Amino acid sequence: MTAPGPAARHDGAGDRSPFNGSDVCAAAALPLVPGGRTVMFDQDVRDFGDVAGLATYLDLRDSRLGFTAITDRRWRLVAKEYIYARLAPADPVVAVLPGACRVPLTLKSCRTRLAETAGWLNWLTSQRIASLGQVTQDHCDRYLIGRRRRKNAAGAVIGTLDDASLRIPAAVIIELAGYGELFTADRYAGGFTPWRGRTSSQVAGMRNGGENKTPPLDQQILQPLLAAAF
Amino acid sequence: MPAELLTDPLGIACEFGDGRSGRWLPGGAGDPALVAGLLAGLAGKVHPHGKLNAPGTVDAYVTGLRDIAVFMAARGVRGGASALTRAVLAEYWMQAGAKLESTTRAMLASYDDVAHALDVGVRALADGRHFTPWPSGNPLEPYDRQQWEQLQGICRRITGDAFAAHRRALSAAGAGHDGGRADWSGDNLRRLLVQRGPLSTTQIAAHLGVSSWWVDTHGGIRTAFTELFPDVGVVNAYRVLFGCYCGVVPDGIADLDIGDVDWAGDAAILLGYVKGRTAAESVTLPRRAVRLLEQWLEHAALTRRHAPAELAGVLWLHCSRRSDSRWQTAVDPGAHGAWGKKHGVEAGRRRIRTTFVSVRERQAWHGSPRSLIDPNHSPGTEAGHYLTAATPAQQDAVESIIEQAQGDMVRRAQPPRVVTAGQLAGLAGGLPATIAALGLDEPAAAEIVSGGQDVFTAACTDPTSGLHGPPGKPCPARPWVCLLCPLAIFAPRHAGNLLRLKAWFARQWAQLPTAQFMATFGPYATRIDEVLQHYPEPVLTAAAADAGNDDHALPLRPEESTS
Repeated sequence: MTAPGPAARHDGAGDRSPFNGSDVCAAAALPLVPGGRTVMFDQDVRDFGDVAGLATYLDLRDSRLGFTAITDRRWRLVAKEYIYARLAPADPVVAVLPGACRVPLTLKSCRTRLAETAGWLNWLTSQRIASLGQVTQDHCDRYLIGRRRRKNAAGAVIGTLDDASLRIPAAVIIELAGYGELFTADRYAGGFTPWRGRTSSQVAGMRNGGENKTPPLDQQILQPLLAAAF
Repeated sequence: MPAELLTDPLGIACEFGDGRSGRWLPGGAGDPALVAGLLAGLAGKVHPHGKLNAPGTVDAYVTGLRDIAVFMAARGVRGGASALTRAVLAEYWMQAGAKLESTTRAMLASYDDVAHALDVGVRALADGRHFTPWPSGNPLEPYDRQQWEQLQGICRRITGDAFAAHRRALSAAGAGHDGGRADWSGDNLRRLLVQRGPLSTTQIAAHLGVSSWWVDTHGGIRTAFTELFPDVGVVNAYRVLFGCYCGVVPDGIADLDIGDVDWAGDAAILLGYVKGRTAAESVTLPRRAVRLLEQWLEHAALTRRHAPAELAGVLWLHCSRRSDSRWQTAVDPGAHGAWGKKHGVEAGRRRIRTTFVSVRERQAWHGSPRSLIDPNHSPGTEAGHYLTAATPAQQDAVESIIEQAQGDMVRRAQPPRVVTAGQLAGLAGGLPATIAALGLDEPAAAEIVSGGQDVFTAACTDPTSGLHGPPGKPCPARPWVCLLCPLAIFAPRHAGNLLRLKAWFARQWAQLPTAQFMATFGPYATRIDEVLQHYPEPVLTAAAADAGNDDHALPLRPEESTS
């Protein structure tokens, strides 16, 4: 196992991302297997397959973060910087952000966040938005309404998603504002805070507590299942 | 009065809503300009401008102030709060810990509200997301049985001895008479104290027309005083014991008045108390708490009779030997701690409540029917303070219970094995296939056929298997557990006992709430019907005639009885 080295220095000059040339594994304190290849910030596909001690439930896809799904190249950099900040909150450039989350996300969560980021940014592209500075609350609301629609493989609407399914999409939209100061290529307009500071759970309308919505299996089904299993 | 900033030396003087006050001098730590700024921020947080309204809270803030001042001095930051940068603040807060981070953030933000001295980015960071989340509270650990009994035993001894001495002193006072120095005696002294109240040596001397030295020399005053007027040690023992008996929160007990004790009959008391975080609550006291309270009211009656009118209504009124602070209404935490040390017990008042609740929840053999210990609690508080397995041993026990429950679920999934009379005869004939199908060796099969391995509900293929108890020892499981045990084989001769068990389930159903019955006996009650389905009707009819509908033929423990 290779111990993570110190994070690369960021120069922060000009339009270059301050993270250009950074070793993501080192910054996120992800140790590598002996002889394993590290992941660099600039890569369009970040493959964390050589990280030591990955959870066994992660398959090959889960350890790979592909940014190429984002069609706008500037926003691809935005997504790279956002995911970097979520993976490495202790990086000195990230830590000084007032709204930055302080707990690193797991690779699996980062993958989910990236997919939602791509969905949001590509939707903006489809709405002919040229810059994140043009994003308004109306865009956020319309995207979330569209995101609520459950679709089949052919893209036909077949129902609506549960409130809880909208939490991550809303969180991504909100967090892009919180990390705005970090982004080199583009960012929301100054002072724009989606949903005026409400949390993603509030935006999604999640309700905590109560019993599980999925009822337990009836004994008549569970008993033969268990009897057959052992 | 608002907090006042002190300039030489730098510090702060506060006066709180309850009349307490204090001065805090952070000392020479760090940059004076930064310290002055943070003190100004702290002043804005103190009552009445802010919510800080206790010396202990200001202590915590001053600790944070010293810490950040020392840190910034080590980093070479000079020029007060306005010289702070986001990088150095982030560096400090990342290593400071939750308490120091919270207090220093609050002081900086408060200072900036007034002075507007911080850089915009620094202010945003101070208002931003914390680096260290507050840890969730550690649940209180209930006392183990030995500690719990020792604590109560000591309190009972102290209160019992003091009360007996009090009664003896009152009798002695009854036998005494009013006399001067010529007939000084213990009885007369006690009579004097009963009549005149808790007098000091000087006051007694004045009353007798003698010198204090004379009274001291003849002695006995301290003993007579303590016997007649309970002191802080005795009242503390009463309070601890009262908490052990009724489980009322410590602050609720501490603030009780006579008016809170509402007699609802000769032996029942409805006690009204106030728990700090909620509105007034009331509880019907357990019998022994009622008796203890009766004893205390009698014990303190003399004290109450002589107390100033405005104090006579305080329940835990007691007397100090010091004449300048004679009437005491509270037991301060220091006195409580000293009392514990003196008697060699650790008496955490909140742990007493936790232990009371924990013991109460384990009183019934089938657990507690309550869904909540206190309806004011959130589920998180309930679980964190009362249901958590606090020690590693308890954690192991809980995990083994979960493992057993999972094993149970798998075992219960197996269909019951009921052999008919014909199969038994076949078994007796030594049919190897049948024996093999039942997983038995020949001696065991013979035992089962003969009834040699019969337990109450069924025949057990291996009573020492250790499935429900220690391996190699006879199975300790209760009779109904056999119904879902894979080792049980039900023969026709068990029909009577199965019917008796079924009737017992019906009686339990009548006396337990539905949810509790289902949690305790539900799977067994379902299973017994499943087992009885395999019995031919004539066998059941014959067995039902002898089964009866009471507990006498069932091997039950007293607490399991239904009649």
